[in-house]
This record gives sequence, structure tokens and C-alpha cells, in this order.
Amino acid sequence: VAKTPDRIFKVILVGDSNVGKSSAIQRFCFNTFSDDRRPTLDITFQMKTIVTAQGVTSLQIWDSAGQERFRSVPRLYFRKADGVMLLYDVTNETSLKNVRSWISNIKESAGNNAVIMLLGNKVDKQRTVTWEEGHAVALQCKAVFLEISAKSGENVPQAFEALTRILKEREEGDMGIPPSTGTPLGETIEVTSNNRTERFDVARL
Amino acid sequence: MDWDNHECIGRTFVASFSKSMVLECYSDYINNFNTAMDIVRKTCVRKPQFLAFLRDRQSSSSSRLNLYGLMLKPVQRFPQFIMIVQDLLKRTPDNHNDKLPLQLALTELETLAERLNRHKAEDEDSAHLRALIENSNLKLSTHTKDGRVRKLLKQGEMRECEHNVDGLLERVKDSLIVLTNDMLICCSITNRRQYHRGGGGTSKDMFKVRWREGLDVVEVTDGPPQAENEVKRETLHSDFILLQKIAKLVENLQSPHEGLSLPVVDKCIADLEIKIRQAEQMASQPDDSCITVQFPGKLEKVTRTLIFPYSSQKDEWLDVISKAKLANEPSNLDSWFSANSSDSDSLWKPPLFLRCLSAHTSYNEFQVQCAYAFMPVPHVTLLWLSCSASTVLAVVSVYYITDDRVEKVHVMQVESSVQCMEHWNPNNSIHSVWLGMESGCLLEYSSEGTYRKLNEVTMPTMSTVMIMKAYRNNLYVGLLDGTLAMYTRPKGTNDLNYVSSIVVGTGPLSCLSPIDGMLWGCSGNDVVTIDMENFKPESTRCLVTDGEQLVVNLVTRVGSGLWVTFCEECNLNLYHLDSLERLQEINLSRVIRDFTQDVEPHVSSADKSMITSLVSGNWQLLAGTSNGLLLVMPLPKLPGSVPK
Repeated sequence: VAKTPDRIFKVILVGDSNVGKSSAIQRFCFNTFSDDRRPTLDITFQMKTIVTAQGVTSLQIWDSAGQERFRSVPRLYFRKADGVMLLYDVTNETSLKNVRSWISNIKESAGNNAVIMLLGNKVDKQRTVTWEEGHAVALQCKAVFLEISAKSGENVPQAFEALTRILKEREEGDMGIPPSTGTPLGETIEVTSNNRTERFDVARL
Repeated sequence: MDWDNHECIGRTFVASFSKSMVLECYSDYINNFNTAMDIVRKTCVRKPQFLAFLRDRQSSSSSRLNLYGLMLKPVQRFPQFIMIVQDLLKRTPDNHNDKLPLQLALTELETLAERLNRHKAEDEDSAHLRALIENSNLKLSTHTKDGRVRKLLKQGEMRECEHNVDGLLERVKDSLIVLTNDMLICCSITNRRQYHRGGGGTSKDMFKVRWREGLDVVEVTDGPPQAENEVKRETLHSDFILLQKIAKLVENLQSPHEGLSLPVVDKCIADLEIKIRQAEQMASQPDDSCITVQFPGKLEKVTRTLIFPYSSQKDEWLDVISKAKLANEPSNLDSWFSANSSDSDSLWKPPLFLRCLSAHTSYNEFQVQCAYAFMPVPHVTLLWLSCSASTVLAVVSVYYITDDRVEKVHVMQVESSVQCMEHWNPNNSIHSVWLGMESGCLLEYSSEGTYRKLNEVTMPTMSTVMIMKAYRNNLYVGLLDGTLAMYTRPKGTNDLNYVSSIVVGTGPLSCLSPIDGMLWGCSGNDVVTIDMENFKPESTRCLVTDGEQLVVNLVTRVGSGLWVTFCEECNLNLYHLDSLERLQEINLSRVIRDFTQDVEPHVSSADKSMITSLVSGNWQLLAGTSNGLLLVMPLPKLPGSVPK
């Protein structure tokens, strides 16, 4: 039975070239992965409906494929975004280093209201960036942090679900409704994946 | 049709995106995008029918894209085209007809996307500057005093500390710092709420200018102000202890004394406490996230400290301010002359001139023959300079250059003219510089203090050394007779071991540049490549057709293009790497003539000028000429594209 979403959130994926933005979307929306990345021509966004205890929510997921080489034009994508997933590659230190400039770019154009989630991708590979290093950057930038693998699918749905939950709770909070799950913002959310529980911080921006 | 019959699509891309009209209309579209979207949003609020119409269209369209998505499509087009062409190129065999057109298409698309981006950045910057002027009491004309367009370079929020005459912290304020191409402006944020709402609407009182100074008088240094602070803190602390003792003594006074009571001393202690706290606060500022700005005040120098949230931001600011200052110096204001003065698109940033160094020699007829600079440690540059008047004698001078001084530290004489020099330090054992001699040998000199001779090696063929290139553990030496010799230094020794030599061409080996595991060189009519790992000639490309009297002099590979110059010529030639088709020939003599006539009429341009050096890097191609000019051309940034 198709359910109509209560709310549609606009989410954009950004990050350096080859960090796996399109792959993460592909994994989440179609649960597939291909090593041979072809440019996506037709579709500029994907819709995915998430059913949680609080209701039905749709994510409108925008891919800024190929724009990352430039700085000014991609800002058009940040317009009125509710959430930003900022990806880096755990096998590439530079991609983590560039996170700060991405953050300032996002804040300049999306405003201070967008929820930013920092995702370290490609944990299936031999990493050169530790969890702690990524986490430290996330804390500094007040971003939610999680490590994922678009290839194995590890933590990918969890990342999108967590973002949805934060967006939803924040919206309810703004409307004066107390958060229903009892996870206050600024605290830690637990994500269970593959029998392993990861804790990550949720900071109000 | 072209595709069905010839499998060719590259030309179509080139034809569609090389017109200036394309850039203009896309640029307008992108720059106006936000305004257009705002109008759509406002109209949706005002006119429900319009909103209903949009919703209806969206739900009945196959793509389900809303108006924003549809409007974004043209923006997304360029990166998508770039990705498609890259993908297509990956699957196109080297000998395919469409290879070169596709590479050219990629260059065209990339250049266009880059320009769109720069136009958008320019547009945003000028909008920011306009908004700042609208929302503050700042008055700025559109042009600088010397008639350049005033541009916003950077703006950002930070904390600004003011100091009193004692160097003590007076107050800390949140500020907006604005850097234009000619001045540094500091504004207080007076209406924070309005500011954080995103600056909607205009309110005159959002910012208030605290100070603005021309970049020529502003001095910027890394870290907090000088260590006077440290001394001050110590005296404050010892005074504090003394005052406490005094308080105890006063307490024990038996009879009242005019002006000497416990409350008076307590007041002194309280005041001192505040001062100490401020001094501590100042000292606890991490050194790595603040810079000190000084400029002349009415009576004395004003010192302000700017504190940034992250040290990386501080580095960015320090860099951009120093560069802006450098760009304002007379030597940089006039030095770059645009060959194409109608080019309104000259938004690229030319390299900045740092300083001129005169090599004093006592003999007038001595000429600088070759120079070599390297940085043994950060912030120190060693410049080795060889001057000679004939082939039998040369004077080599060593200059020690730091940020604030240049010093000649050593002079020596060698018995043949120096053709080339190279710093080679394979096992991080010693810093030394190798001199390639006209007489056919290599001399190694220590570059650490003593400058003594460490090694002397004669070339296997006794031929004149033309060029040297150190790469990893090997030293490659190109000779006049077309031989390339390879040397190595075994670990733990200071010996030079001869490995082997190969003949790579018939003419002098005049250039060696290591690019992606390959050494690119020029010899006679050919451009040669040598596989560095196996030390074997990989390919020979003959660029000169029969009958032409040309000798290849310099070569550098950029993407799929080869930039080549010929001996005694003033042309830059661009060849396609695979087909060796000559794509472009740029004659620089006209540019040089125009420049010398316009800017330096006293320089004689009667002599035929030649290109004497060629370097690519940082997306720029630099060519040096025999009459002392440096020409710079921007290059595209994408790998695989053909430069133009």
C-alpha cells in the first residue's frame, strides 16, 4: 500500500570528486552498486520514502554530480536544502581536509539552518583516515558523523534514516511539539547495524 | 548523422560551445538564478492559481521535476556533458577519428564551465560588496584611487581585539572583516539578528565601520602582537603579590591614616585583577589562530589582533592579505600586460612578482648563464647563480634568501662555463648541488655551509653536459651528442655510481622533464620519451618535416597536448600527443613587440627574441624569452583535455 508522505525534505549530497556521492544514492535508493560509474544524465534527483515510527517521510535526494570541481555554480544546489550529506573518502585524506571549505560553502548559501551530516565513505577499503579524525572534524563543524560503505551497503540506510529522524524532530521541535522519540538534539543517537551499535552525536546547528 | 556514418560527435560539441554567445547567455542565466527563484516563490505566495498551475504541471510531467529542478537542468548540463565526454574518451581507441575532436570538446566544455563559475563568483562578490555598502555606513566608490575596479576579495566574521597603550587587552568585539583589492575594512556587527537572518531587506545599521585602511599602510604579521605582553604579565603578577602584602600591612595599622585604608588597597587589587585576567586571556589565545594588524594612527601605530575560529582560516586570510598587498605593489601593478586587451574575461590571476635580485660582479662583460634555486628548509631559498664571459671560466655565487633578507654567502670559480645545475639529495644524506659543465663533467658541491667540492665525474662520451634532472634516486644527464646517462647514489655512501647510458637522439639533448614516470626530452628534430623505470627509450616523435631547418628545443606535456619550441624561434607550438597534428602555433614576437613598445619603449626590440625556457604547472604555461620577458598563459585544468 502506497503511503502518502507527511513531509518532503530536500537533501543534497556534496563532497569532492570520486568520494562516492552517486554510489551512496544508488545504494540507498536501489540497493545496488557498480564499480563502473556512468554519468547520470536524465535524473537530477531521486525520491525515497522512509517509514518510521513517527510517520511517512519522503526524501528528495539531489546529486550534484560533476559540479564539485567548481565553487560558485554548485551553490545553486544548496538553495532551501533541509539536509546536506557531506561525503569524504576514508582512503583519501585530502577529501577530509576539504570538508571545512565545503561546510563554509554550504553555510554561505544554504544558511545556518540545514542539518549537515558528515559521512566517511568506502570503509570497505584499506583506510588512511581514522574514525577519530573524521569524528573530530564533525565535532568542530557541528555535523552528525557516520562512516559508511556504498559498496557493501554498511550504514547507508542508517545514515539516511538518521538524517530523516533529525530533520523530523527538529521540525516538530520548531512547531512546539516535543520530540517524540525522546532523543533530544545535542545528544547521541544509536544506530545498530550488523550486530554492532554505533553511537554518534547529534548537534543542533 | 555524423555519428551514424563516422562515429563522430566531438566536433558537434566544439561547434556548439565555442561561441561567446553561449557563455554570455548561460552566465546571465546562472547569475540571475537566485533572483528568478525568489520571484517564483513570492508569486506562489501571492497568486494561488500560479502555485496550483505549477503543482499540476509537476504531477503531470513524466520527470516529476518541480520548477526549481527544471530550472536547474541547464546548470547541470555542463558538468554532465563533461562527464559524458570523459566517459566516451575512455572508451575511444587512440587511433579513432573522434579522439582528437572529443579531447578538444572536453577542453571547450571545461573552459566554459570554469568561466561560468568565475563569472558567478565575480557576480556574487560584487553583490556582497553592494549589500555591505547598503547595510552599513560604509562609503566606497566603485573604483580604487588608481582607477582599478574595486573588488571584494574575502570577507568573514571574527573577533577583533583592541589594545591600550600598554599593550593590554582593552576589548574584544565580534567583527566583520572585509578585504577588497585595495583596502582592509573592519566593521562592527550592530544588528546581529538581522545579519543572521540572512540579510533580508536593507537596514542601514547592520554594520558600522570601525576602521578602514589602505593595503599599502597595513602591516600584517602571523600570531599575537609582540612579546611585550609577557613582560607586562610578570610585572602585573609581582605587583599583585606586593599589593596583597600591603593589604595585610594596612590591616595591621593601629590608627587611621588619610588616604591609606583597606578599601583603597582593595580597590587597587580589584583593578589589577581585571588587568591580569585580560592579560591572561590575551596570552591564552592560541597563537596559531590569530594575526596582528598594524596601521598608522593619529598619534602612533594602531595594533589590532584578529582571532579566527580555526587556524586554517587564519592561514587563508594571512595568505590572501599578503597576496593582495603584493599585488598592490608598483612592480605588480604595471608588470602584467594583457596581450589581448579586449579580453574582458581576463579573470585569471597572474603570478606575482616578489623582488628583483641584482647579481653584482666586478666584470661588466659577465652574463648570468644559469641559475638554480631550491628550498633546503621551509622559508629559506638558496639561489645558485653562474655567470661567465667565455666558455673557459665561470663564477658561481650562492645567495641565501629568506623572507626579509638576501645575502651572498659564497663565491667560487670553476674552470668551464656552467650549463645547468641541479639539487640532488637522494638519501637525505647531504644537501649538494651538481654543476653540469661545458667541458663534459659534473661537479658536486656541498650546499651546507662549507660549499666544498665533493665529487667530480667525467661524462662517458666526454660530451658537453646540456641538462640534468634529478628524479627519486637517480640523476639523469643529457649531453650534447644526444646521449642520456643515468647515475645513482648507493645508500649510505657519497659516491656517484654510473648506471648506464643510452643514445636517444642525434642532436643535443636540450630539455628533460619528468612527467608521469616518463622523461620528455628534445633532441634534433625529435621529441623523445624515456621510460624512467627501465631506462629505455619509449618513443620518438618527429615533429619536423623534411626540408624544414628546425631543431626542437623545449617540450612540456600538458594533458594530451605537447607544447614545443624550436631553437632560434619565437613560436609556441601545440601538438596533439597521439596524432602529432599541430593544433596551434602562437607567434610571440608580436606580443613581445607590443609589450616593449607600450610599456618599455627604451628596451630595444630590434634583436630577434627567442623562447629560452618553458615550464608548465599550476594550470599555467610559462615561457621565458631571451630579452627577459615572462609570458604566462592559462591552461585548462582537466586531465585528458587538450590545452589551448
